[in-house]
Amino acid sequence: MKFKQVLLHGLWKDLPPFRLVLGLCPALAITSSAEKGLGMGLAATFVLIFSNTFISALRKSIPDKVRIASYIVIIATLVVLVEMSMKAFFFPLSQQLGIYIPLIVVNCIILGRAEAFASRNPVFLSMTDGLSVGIGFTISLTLVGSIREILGAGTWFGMSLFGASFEPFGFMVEAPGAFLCLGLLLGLMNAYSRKRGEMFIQS
Amino acid sequence: MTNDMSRKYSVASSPHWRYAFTLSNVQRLWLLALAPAMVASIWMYGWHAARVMGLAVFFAVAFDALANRVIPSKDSTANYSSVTLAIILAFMMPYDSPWWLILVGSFIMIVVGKKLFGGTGAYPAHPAMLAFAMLLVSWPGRFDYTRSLLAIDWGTKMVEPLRLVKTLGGGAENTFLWQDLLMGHQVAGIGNALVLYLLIGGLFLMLIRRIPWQTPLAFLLGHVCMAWILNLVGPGEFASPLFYVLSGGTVFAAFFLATEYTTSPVNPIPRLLYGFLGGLLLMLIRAFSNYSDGVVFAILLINLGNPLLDRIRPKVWGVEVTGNA
Repeated sequence: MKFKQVLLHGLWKDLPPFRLVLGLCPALAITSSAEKGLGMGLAATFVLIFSNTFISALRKSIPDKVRIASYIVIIATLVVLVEMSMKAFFFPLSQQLGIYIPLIVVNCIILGRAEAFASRNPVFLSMTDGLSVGIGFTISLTLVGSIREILGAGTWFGMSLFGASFEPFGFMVEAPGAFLCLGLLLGLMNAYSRKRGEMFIQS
Repeated sequence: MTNDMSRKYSVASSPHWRYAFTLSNVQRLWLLALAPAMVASIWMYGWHAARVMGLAVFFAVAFDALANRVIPSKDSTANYSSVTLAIILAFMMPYDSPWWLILVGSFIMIVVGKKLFGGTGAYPAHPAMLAFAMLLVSWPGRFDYTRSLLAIDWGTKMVEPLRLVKTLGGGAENTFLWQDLLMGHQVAGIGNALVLYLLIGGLFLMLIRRIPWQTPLAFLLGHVCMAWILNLVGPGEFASPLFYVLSGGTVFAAFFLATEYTTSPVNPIPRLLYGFLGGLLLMLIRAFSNYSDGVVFAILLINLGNPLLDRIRPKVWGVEVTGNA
């Protein structure tokens, strides 16, 4: 029961970045195409799963006073691994994502999950939590990226969707389009859950 | 005593005094003020202008009604505010705008710019300007007024006056006669440069006191001051102040965009500052940016300054000022 709850909470109840409203920097900056959203989401998921696992395994031996520094060391190690493997195997994508891959280190979602979940739960549950939140993050980023790419460029994962006569709504792939898209999605989700009577909106 | 008790008294809360200053009446007066320019536009551009305005009004009212059905609000479709906004947006559109451009513009204007913020009285930036800015950023090629008017010849040089001055320097102002600029014989959107007709409408609104006199006059003053300073500093580079006032959408911005009720300040001194700042910014954008006519961006920028300016308010008698109130 607990396991199932942990596995599913990242997909709706704590869906990042919409529900947690954390990790907004990558959600705004790199979602100009679906491919970039997916790549960023998967990289963050990898880091999230392993950082949660290691932090949970070491939770008894990390002193409370220096825990944030210790978490950052673990997360940074993983991020360097991700960055180097992306440069080795997915060079074009890593060129597109640029600085935002190293910046996963300071992604609030990863530190937030470490602090809120992994530091007080057993290893397997923490790993599940990382997987769940990571998948939620990947889906969200791919969704935002898809909407922006379809409207703003007329393509989806690089495939042309409309004919040559389609003039794309270029505003959506610019930076202000990210704010508009994210805000509208957040508003729609809030309206939907208000309709379902969920109490989550913090006043 | 019993007689008094049995009589029905009205116990409604204030205001008790009502007169015909309703939103729909005010918006209809705005439409009346815009009417000379609308007629002149149809006279000069033919049925294309009527098509652009008609489509804009149709789409805007339709989106307004649909949005009201999904999210019911106090801002009803019957108050004409969507019609006024649609005409203002249409005035800035080029003569050959395709229907989908107007559709997207109306959607952004009504749904994103107006309804999402809560309707008339609640939005932070002028919805028509917001929509126009998004369209301009997305489809810059569609807003090439010079290209759109290749088929028309009014006997003047058929290039946007501000663009010519920007590329060739201040001397290029002599290409245009001020009478032509005043009568609206200049390349622009279908209504934003019909200076004389807009001036008539604007002065009408000002005289019946439906727009304040401070904002438009301060706007024009700010524009003239900045243009005069720039002209003194670099006479070869910049044209005369009169040219900048008469070309592009300066008069339109001063009388119809800067005075929009929701996004402009309510007190006299902030109004003066607001207008002055707008005119000054407009001149700076015209002088130093990539855009030849920056009306949209100047208006959006001063809109953002509005809440700050609204903090300058009259002193309340008998109340001690405490803190930073």
